Amino acid sequence: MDGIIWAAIPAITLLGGLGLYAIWIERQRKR
Amino acid sequence: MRFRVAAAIALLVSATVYAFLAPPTDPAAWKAPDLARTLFFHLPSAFMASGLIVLAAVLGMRYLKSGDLKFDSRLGAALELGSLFAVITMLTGIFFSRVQWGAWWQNDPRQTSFLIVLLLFLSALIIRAAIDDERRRAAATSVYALSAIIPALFLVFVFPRLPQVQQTSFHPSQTIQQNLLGTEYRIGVIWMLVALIVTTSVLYKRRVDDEDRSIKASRVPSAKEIGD
Repeated sequence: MDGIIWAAIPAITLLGGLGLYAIWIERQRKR
Repeated sequence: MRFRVAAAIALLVSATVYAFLAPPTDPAAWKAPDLARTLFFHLPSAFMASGLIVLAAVLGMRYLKSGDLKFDSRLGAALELGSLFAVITMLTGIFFSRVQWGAWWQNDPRQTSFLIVLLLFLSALIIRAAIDDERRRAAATSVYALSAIIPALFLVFVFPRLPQVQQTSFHPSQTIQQNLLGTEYRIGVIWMLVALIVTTSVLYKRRVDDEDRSIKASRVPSAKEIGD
């Protein structure tokens, strides 16, 4: 179970990156 | 649009769940066997960044041929998304390098060559941010995107295959080139790649629609339109 952290970090990097970009473009639209 | 958003989320979630459920690799070969799952996030991101730099060059060429600003807004979206995937590829790669090979940065030829690809993307965004006039910005970015495609294609497709690079690099490029990836891992990579293509198409369309609206809003109406 400890080892799962090694897979979770890349997953968070990818999904987090896409999520932040999606939030940023929605904020740009509201301007 | 709602269907595409739902499909993108469903594909991303299912591909991520699959990445965690795929059978573990040979523990003897790894500092941490679950680290092999990095591949499901790192490799499709690298494919997306490579595809988007090609798309950017095509859109740059179309703008230069037509002078239509709609191609510039598409070019901007492609460069933003390409930069995002290049950053994700770099971060996941650096993290893998730290755990498996013991150093965040070790001057591996693949790490260095992809850093240059990332810098090519970021330079394009800097050019866009530096020029206010939309026509000048569109022309400068289009020419840049067309010029950058030559070094980018070399760095992504030619450089990693040079024998001297393959001999000195830690990067397991040959595993993929020689089709040595296990079936479960190949399925996971393709699944995530499909998820990223669908997600990128949603984000790209959303971004382009917004840019197109602002082009229309700032456009000076023609004499004919005023006459009407």
